[in-house]
Amino acid sequence: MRIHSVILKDFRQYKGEQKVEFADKEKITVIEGPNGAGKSNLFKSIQWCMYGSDILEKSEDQVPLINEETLRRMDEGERSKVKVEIKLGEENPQYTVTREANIKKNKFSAEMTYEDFYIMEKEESGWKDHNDYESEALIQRILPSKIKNFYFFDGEQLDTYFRQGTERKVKSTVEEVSQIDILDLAVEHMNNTEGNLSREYKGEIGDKIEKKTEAIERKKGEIEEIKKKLESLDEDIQRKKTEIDKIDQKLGDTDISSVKNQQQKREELKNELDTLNNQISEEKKKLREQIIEDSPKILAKDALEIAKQEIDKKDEEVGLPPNIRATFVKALIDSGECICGNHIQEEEENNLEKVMQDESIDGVSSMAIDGKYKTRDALSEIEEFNNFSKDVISRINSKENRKGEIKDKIEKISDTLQGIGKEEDLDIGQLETDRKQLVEDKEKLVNEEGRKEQRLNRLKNEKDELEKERSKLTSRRSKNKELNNKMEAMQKGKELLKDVKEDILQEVRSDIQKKTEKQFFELIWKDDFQEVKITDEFSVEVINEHGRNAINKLSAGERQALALSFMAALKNISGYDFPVVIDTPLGRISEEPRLNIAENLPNYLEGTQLTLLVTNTEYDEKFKDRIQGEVGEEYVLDFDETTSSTTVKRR
Amino acid sequence: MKSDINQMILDKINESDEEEWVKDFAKKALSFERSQYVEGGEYTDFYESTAKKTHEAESE
Repeated sequence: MRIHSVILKDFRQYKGEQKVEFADKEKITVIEGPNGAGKSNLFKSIQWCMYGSDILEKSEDQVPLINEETLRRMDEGERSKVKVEIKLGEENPQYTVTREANIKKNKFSAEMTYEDFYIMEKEESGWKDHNDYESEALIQRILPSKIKNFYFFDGEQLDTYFRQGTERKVKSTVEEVSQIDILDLAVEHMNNTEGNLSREYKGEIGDKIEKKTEAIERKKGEIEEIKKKLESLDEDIQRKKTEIDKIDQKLGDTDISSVKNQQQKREELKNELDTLNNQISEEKKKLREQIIEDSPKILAKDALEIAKQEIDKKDEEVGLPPNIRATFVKALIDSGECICGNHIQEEEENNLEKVMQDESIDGVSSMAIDGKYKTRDALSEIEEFNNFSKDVISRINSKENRKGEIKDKIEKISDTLQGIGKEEDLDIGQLETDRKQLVEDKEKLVNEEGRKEQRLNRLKNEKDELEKERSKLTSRRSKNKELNNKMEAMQKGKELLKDVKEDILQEVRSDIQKKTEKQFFELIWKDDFQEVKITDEFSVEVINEHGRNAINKLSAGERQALALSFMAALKNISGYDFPVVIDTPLGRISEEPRLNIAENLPNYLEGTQLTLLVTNTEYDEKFKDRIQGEVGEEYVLDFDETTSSTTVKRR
Repeated sequence: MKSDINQMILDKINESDEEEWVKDFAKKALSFERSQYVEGGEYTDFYESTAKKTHEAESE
């Protein structure tokens, strides 16, 4: 599918009616405009048309949708319409998607009174109108709103995607885009049904089951509440990170060399800090795994030592293994004479025959040998574990010490920058003070998030435990077979779907990993990297030529290429044939990597209609040279400062 | 939903060691979740309509 055209009427900067026609699937559409000319609003207008005002950010609440100049010319109480119309289809338009907002001018504001949304679909007999309910369902079939971010990429957001601590985000994104979250929905639904069924039990066990169900429901409520808080914390943290990044960008881009150097040093130190954090968590993981493997031996250390003392004592006294062999007993029977010299009677001979046939004689022997050596082995493995853990702890301590030194240095850089004050229209001191506050706020939020995650895990375990207890109670009850059968169906169905989800999640993860790696190596311009990995825990790693994870050492260009590759892989997994629109894809990247990405863009997303909204600095002459021949349509956004309005002009 | 992921889910369910009635029930429940137009309804309905007979026969 491709976008044929977008018509905007009085949407934000776009005064009157403005039309953009898009290139076909094999070509790129480039829309160029300086900051503030309306690139992001054009980007948003398409999403607004498809999904409504929910796509607008909270911070935009006070910004009217209607063009400021049009609003200024309206009288108080007068009404006007903002409209966006998109034509979508393959070779010819198949859908016309339209959204209109009715705006009323109040004394100090513009009020949106209502929105209209409708789609016209081309059928053999002509164009068919869909009502708003059908249109909402149809647009979700064309491209579900929850995966739209993998088709509408915001360049600014992409850069922050692979900062630390994104495992949960990556995992939930993978679940969402592959839409295997449907398995969660089914499991949740079965859980609720199971809860309802258990309330139907009567009698003593029925009461107990009901109490368990109530407790489970309470836990579920608490879990949901914490999940919501975590989501909101995560958003707050991301916001703080973006603001910190913006300040870092300003400090890094300044022409004041002392500031630039300090910022560069801080970036290097931050990278080292990230690497150390990764290494420490890797060491801790190794230690945890070893503790789990050796814990039975460690817990049994006292018993093993006593056993060893006993075995050594016996060994000294009689020697181990015990000097009894079936062959000795046979020799005794054959001789017919006991070692004391007496003749062996028939009854005694029968007993000896039995003893000889009893394999336990040799069994005792081999057990004694086994016990002797295995006890020694186990104790020596405990010793090895002690040495291993000492080494690991010592490495962790040394890395922690280094972290302390780095933090001190970062603190000093911050103090230095705070002391600089205002230079060349840039208040460095104030920027750094703001940054410091943001870092403090962010750390508080991260700690809060950690505490909430621990609480969430505890609650999940408690809920699972309660469910197990309820399951035991229900299985004890046999009176109501029908009810039992239904409960069993819910329990078994849940278990099956949970297993299926885990299996598929791992397969999808591996698929996304391969596709991300392929795209990344195509977009990137160096041979410095061996592999892109998405670990079982969903952290993204880029393995360098030395076999180390270099994710925190990637340059802005490499990070952007990685994010573009990851988004393209996710888009591919989702399976929807919809065009890709990227807002300022390369805005923060220096020239060389930018041109390399440009050169490889035609291979990127092959067969997908690609639209780039670019600034004039991104889309310079060199960039144009590299993608020459690939551009099908080219527009310039002409911004008139006197009317704050933009006109779209074909180049 | 991409059809091959949908197929992957169905394959995994079919490949599992679970009894047939559990597989039928799980598949029906998923198709219910997938249909965006159906409001309400409970999984017990699917159990009644698809899996009940085989389940009872197997649990006898």
